[in-house]
Amino acid sequence: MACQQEEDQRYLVVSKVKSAAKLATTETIIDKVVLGTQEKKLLGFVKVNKAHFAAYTQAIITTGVDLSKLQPSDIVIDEKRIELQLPAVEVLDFSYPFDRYRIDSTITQNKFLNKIDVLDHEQFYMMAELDIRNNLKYTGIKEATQSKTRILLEGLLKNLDYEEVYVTFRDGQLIQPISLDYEIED
Amino acid sequence: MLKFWSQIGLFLQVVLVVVAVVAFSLFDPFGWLKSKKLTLEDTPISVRSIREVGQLISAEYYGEVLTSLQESMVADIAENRSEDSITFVQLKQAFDEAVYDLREQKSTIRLKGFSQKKKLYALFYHQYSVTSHPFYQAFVHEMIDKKDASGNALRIGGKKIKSEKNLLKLLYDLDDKEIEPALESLDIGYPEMEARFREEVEVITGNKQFRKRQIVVLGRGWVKAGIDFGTFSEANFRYDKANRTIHLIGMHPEILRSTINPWFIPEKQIKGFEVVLITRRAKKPEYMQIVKKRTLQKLRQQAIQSGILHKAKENAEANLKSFFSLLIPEGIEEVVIHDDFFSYFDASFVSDTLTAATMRSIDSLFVSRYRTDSAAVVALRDTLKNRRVYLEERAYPANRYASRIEMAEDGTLDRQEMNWLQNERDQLVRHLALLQTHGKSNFQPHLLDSVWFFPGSEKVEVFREEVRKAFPTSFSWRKVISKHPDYVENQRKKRDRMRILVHEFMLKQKMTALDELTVELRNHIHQVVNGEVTYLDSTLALPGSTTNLENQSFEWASSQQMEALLPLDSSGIHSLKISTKPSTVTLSKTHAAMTTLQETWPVDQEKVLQKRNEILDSWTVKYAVNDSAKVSGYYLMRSYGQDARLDSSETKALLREFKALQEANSYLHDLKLSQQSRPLVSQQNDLLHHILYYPSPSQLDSMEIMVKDRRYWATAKRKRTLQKRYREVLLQRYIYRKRRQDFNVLLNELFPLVEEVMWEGVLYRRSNGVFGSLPADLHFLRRGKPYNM
Repeated sequence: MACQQEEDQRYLVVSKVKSAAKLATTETIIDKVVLGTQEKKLLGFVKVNKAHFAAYTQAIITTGVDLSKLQPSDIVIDEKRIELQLPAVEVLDFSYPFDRYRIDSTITQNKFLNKIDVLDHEQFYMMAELDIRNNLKYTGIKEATQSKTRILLEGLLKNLDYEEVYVTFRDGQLIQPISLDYEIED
Repeated sequence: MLKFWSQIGLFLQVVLVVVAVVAFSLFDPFGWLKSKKLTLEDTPISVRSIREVGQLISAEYYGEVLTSLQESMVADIAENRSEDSITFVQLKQAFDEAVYDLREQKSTIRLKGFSQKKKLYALFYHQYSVTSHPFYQAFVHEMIDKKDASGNALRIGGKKIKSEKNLLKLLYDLDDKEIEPALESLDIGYPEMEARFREEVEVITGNKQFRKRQIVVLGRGWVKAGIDFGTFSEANFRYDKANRTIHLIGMHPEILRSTINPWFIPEKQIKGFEVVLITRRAKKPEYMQIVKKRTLQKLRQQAIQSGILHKAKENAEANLKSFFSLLIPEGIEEVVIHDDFFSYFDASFVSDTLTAATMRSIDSLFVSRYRTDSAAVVALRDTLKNRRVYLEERAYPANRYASRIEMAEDGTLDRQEMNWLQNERDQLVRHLALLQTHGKSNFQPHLLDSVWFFPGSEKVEVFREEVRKAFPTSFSWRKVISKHPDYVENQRKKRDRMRILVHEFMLKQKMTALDELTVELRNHIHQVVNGEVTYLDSTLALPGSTTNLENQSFEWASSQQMEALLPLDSSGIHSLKISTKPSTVTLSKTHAAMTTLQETWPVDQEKVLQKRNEILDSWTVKYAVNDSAKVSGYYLMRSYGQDARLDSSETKALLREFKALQEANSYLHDLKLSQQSRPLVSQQNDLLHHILYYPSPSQLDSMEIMVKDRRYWATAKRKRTLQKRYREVLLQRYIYRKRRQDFNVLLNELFPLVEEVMWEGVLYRRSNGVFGSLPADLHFLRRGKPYNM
C-alpha cells in the first residue's frame, strides 16, 4: 500500500514544459508570523517543559486571469464598442520562498531535552502555508486583481481604437481551499 | 572495611540512577518522554503590498531534483571560481590596455638613472586604476607563477619573471613586435583556474567535519516563464496593418518565477522539500538554507535545459495572436516578438530600399541606444551604408541626413525647411571657420554626428601620431606622478589638439553629407520659399504672390540664383538677413535667430548686438492667424496661449520664471558692495535675456557716469574692486528690470488668450472673464493685477 501510494505521488511529478496562457496583473505580498511550540510530557500527561519557535515569513501571490479559458462568445464587438467577459480571477502562482524566512532568535528557545530542529521548522512552514492559502479569500486580493486587470485591458483596448470598453468577470474561486484534517507525518 | 564497601555501593546506586535517567531522556525506548505534536499558534496574515504587474505566463515547468549539502558546498566553490575566471579575464584586458598605453608614453616620460623598475612601478600604479581592483594582487601572482607548456617558469623576452616590478619592466622594454605574443602568453586560462579549483575542493572535502555533515533533500517545484510587460510602452509596439502583423520590440521571454514551497501539492500531501537524510551535525538552519538554495538553482537550470524559454516565446506569440484576433475584427496574421530594435529592423528590411520615415525611426534608435550599446549601433550603421533611400525613382545614400530627404516629397521647400537648411550650413561653416582661423572649437556634436562621422580607429591612430609629433616634449617620471603644472598643461594641449582634429574631421564629413542632401533636394524641388518671396521653377505658372526671379526664366538645376539660394550666403551671422522694414516672422525663424545670436555672442558681441537691435525693432512673431507679438526674451512662452490652455508644464514654467524674478528682486535689493555679486538665478535662457536686454552704448555710458561719480569712492579702500562690483550690479539691475517688464507684458498678453489652467492635477476654468479660484501660487496670472515687484 505504501509503495503504491509512493508510486502515485511519483507519477504526479513529471519534469516537462507545459504550455500556458495566463495573464498576471497583480502581485500581493503577505506577511505571516510563524509562532510554534513543542511541549515535552512525561508519560503523556506530566508537563516537563515547552520550547518556542518564531519566524517572520512572506508569501508572494500572483493573480490574474487564464486566457486559455476565454471563448469567442465572451467578446461582443459593435463597431467602436466592445464588451469583454473575462474568466474568473484566480491565483496563478503561490510562492512561499524560503529565502524570506527570518528566524527570531530572541523568541526561539529550546528547552532541556526539548529541541526544535530544522525538521520541525519544516513542519511549521508547511502548516503556515496551509493557513495562508485558506485565508487568502479574506484579503481583498480578488477585488484588487479585478480592478487592475480591468484597467490594463481598458488601456489596451482603447489603444486599439475602441471608444467604449466594458470588462466584466465570471464568478469563480480565487484558490482551492485545503482541508486541514490530516496528520502531518513525523 | 564493611563501611567502605557500603559507601561504594551507595555511590554506585546513585550513578546507576543518574545514568538510567539520562539514558531514558536521550533514547526514550518506551516513549515516556515523547513530545506532543507541534502546535502552530493562530497568528493573522497581513497584506504588506499589492502592486500592479503585467506578465504573460506562457510556459511552465514542473520538476524534481535531488541535492545534498556536500554537493552544494562544492558547487559554491565552482561558482566562485568561475566568477573569478571572468574577473581575471576582465583584469587581463585592463592590464593589457594599461601596458600598451604606458609603452605609448615612452616618448613623453623619461625614465633614466637608477631604480628604473621602481620608477616604472610607481608610474604604473599612479596612472592606471586597474591596480586598485580588489583582485589585482591575486591576478598578478597568477601571472608571475604561470608555467609554460613544458611546465617551466614562463619567460618574457628570454628572462624569468621574478616580481611584479620585474614583469612591468620586461613588458615595457620589449620590441613592438614582441609585446603582443608576450601578453598572450600571460593569459590566465582554463588550465590554471581548473588546477586552483581542484586544490580547493581537495582541501575542503578532506576535512573530517565536512564529511560528517550531510543533508539530502528531494525538491519538487515549478518554474514559470513568459513575457514581462512592465516596461512596455508605445515605443515597443508596431502594428503592420498591411500584413496584419504585430511586432513587440524589446520584449524577450524570461524566467518570471521559480518556486519550491513547503508543499508541492497540498491537496495530495506532496511535500516540496522532502528530507531524505540528515546527520546530527547538519541540523542547523544555515545548512538547510544552502541546500534549498542549491535545489532551486538546479530546478531552474533543469527548466532552462528543457527549453522553457524557447517554448515561452513560441507560446507567447501564439497566445497573443489568438488574443488579439479575438479583439481585432479583421484578425491578426502573426505576432512577432523581437529582442530589440536591431533585430526588428533586420527582420523588416525585406529589400534594399528604405524610406525617409524608416530612417527617422533608425535615427531615434541610434540616439537612444548609442551610449549603452554603441557596438550594435555601429554594426547597424555599417549595414545601412549599403542601403539606399528611395524618393520617387531616385536613390539616395542612407546617411546622417537621409531622413531629411522627405523635405523634397512635396516638391516644395517651405520657410521652416529653408531655415533649417540655412542654419545647418551656417553652423557648420561657423564652426569650421572657428577651428581653422582661431584653432578653437565649440562644436558640440549631436549623437547622430558621433554615430555617422566619428573617425574610425585607424584615423584616430593617425591623429594620435600627429599630436605626438606636435608635442614632442618629454617629462621626468617625477613630474608625471606629482602632476607638475608643465606636464598638466602639456596633456591639456594634447587633448585640445586631438579634439580639434576629430571635430574638424567630423565637420568636414558632415558638410559633405549636407552637400549630398542639397544636391538631391535640387533634383526634386520645384518651389522654394525664401523670406517673403517664393521662387518657382519657370516651367510652372501659378497665380498669387509668386514671382519668377527678375522675370527671367532659368534652368533650375544650373541657375546661379539657385546656387545662391541653396545654400544661402553662409558667412556666420551675416547670413541672418534682417530687413529694417517691419516683417512678420514665424516662431521657428525667431528661434533660429535667437540661437544664432547666442552661439555668436562669445565670438563677436558687437555684431550680435547690432543684429539684436534690428530684430527687436523690426520683427513681429506670428503665433496664429490673428495673433502676433513683438520679439522679447519670452517669445517661446508667448506661444503657450495658442491652445487657450496652460497645461501643467507651461504653468510650471511660468511659475518658475515668476519665482526666479522674485528671488532676483530680493537679492538685488539686499546686495551690498562688500560682497561679490553672483549671477541671477540660473535659467535655461539666461544668456538670451542677457543679450536681448543688454544696455545700449548710451545707457552703458550713463552707468559709467554713475559709477565714477560716487563720493563714496573718495574714502573707500580697494576702489577699483568696488567700482567693478558696482558696475556689475548696475548692469544686473538694468537687465533684471527689462526682463521683469517683459514678463509683465507677457502675462498681460497671455491672459486674454487663456481659458483654462492646469495645475497639480486640477483644471481651473475662467468664468465671466475671471479665474476666481486659482491657488495662491498662481495669483500672478490673474487679470487686473499686473505684477509689481
